[in-house]
Amino acid sequence: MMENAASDDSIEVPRGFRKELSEMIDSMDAAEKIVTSGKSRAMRTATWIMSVAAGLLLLIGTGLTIHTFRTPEDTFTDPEEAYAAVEKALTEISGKMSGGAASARQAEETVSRHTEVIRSLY
Amino acid sequence: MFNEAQGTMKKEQFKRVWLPLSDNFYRAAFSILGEEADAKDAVQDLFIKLWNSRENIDRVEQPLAYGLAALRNICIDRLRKRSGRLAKEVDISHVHEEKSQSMSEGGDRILIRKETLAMLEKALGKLPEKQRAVMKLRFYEQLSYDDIAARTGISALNARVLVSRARDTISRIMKPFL
Repeated sequence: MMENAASDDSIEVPRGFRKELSEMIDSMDAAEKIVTSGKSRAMRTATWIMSVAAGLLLLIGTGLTIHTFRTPEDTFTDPEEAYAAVEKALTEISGKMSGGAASARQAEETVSRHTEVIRSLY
Repeated sequence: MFNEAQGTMKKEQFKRVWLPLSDNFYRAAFSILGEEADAKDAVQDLFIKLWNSRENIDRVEQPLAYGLAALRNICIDRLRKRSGRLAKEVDISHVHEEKSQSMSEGGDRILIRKETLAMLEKALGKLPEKQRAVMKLRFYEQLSYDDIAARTGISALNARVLVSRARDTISRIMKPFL
C-alpha cells in the first residue's frame, strides 16, 4: 500500500524539501566529526590490534622469564634424599680436586726440572 | 584528524543512495499522516535513523522497500502519539534496532537525534564570528585549510587554531547530552 502511495504523483512534495534534507545530512555529518575524536574505524581497529598484541607480548615475555629462572629439577622434597645427593656431589668434587692436586704437583716438578735445564744453558 | 576522503565519500554516498527517494518517502508518509508538517517530520526522522545505521545498511539491495518499512514504523508511532493512546504493544523491533545501533557504533560514534542538530546550531551560534565561519567552511563545506585560507584571508595555521578552539567549546557544550 505504501509502495503505491510512494509513486503517487498526485501527492505534491513541498518545495525545497530535498534541499532541506541534504542540509540536514550535512549537519549530521558535521556534528559527528566535530564531537568525536575523528578516528576512522580502520584506525580504531588498528589501535585495538596493537594494544592486544602489546599485551600478549608482555604476558609471553613475563611467562618466559619466570620459566627460565625456575628450576624444579634442582629441588628435592625429601630431606634425606637431598642430604645424600649433597654428600655424593661433595665426594665427587673432592675426588676431582685431589686428582687435580696430584697433577698440579706433577706439573710443578716438571716446570722446575725444565727451568733447571734452561738455567744450566746460560 | 579524521580521514577526510573517507568521511566525504560516506556522506556523498549516503546522499546518492537515499536523497533521490525523498519524494517517494514524503508521499508515502503523507498518505498515512495526512499533514504536510507531520509527513516532513517523519521523513526527517527516517533520514536520521538511516544515517545512524548507515554502516550496517551499506549494502541494502532495495533501499526504497527498506526505507518504506522503517518509515511505516515511524508513522505508526506518530499516529499513536497523535491520538494520545498508549501503545498497546511495545514495538520490540524498534528497541532492538536502537540497541544494535549503539552496540555497533563503538565508543567513538555518537547517535544523532533531532535534538543533537538543534544543539549544534545553538553551540555554533555561541561561537565568535571567525570561529563559526571557519567551522562552517571546514565541517559543512569540508574545505581543506588551504582552501579556507584562500576564501577568508585567514592563514591556514590560524584557521587550524580557530577550529581547534571551536571544537573544544562545542564538544564541551554538547557532550553531556550525547
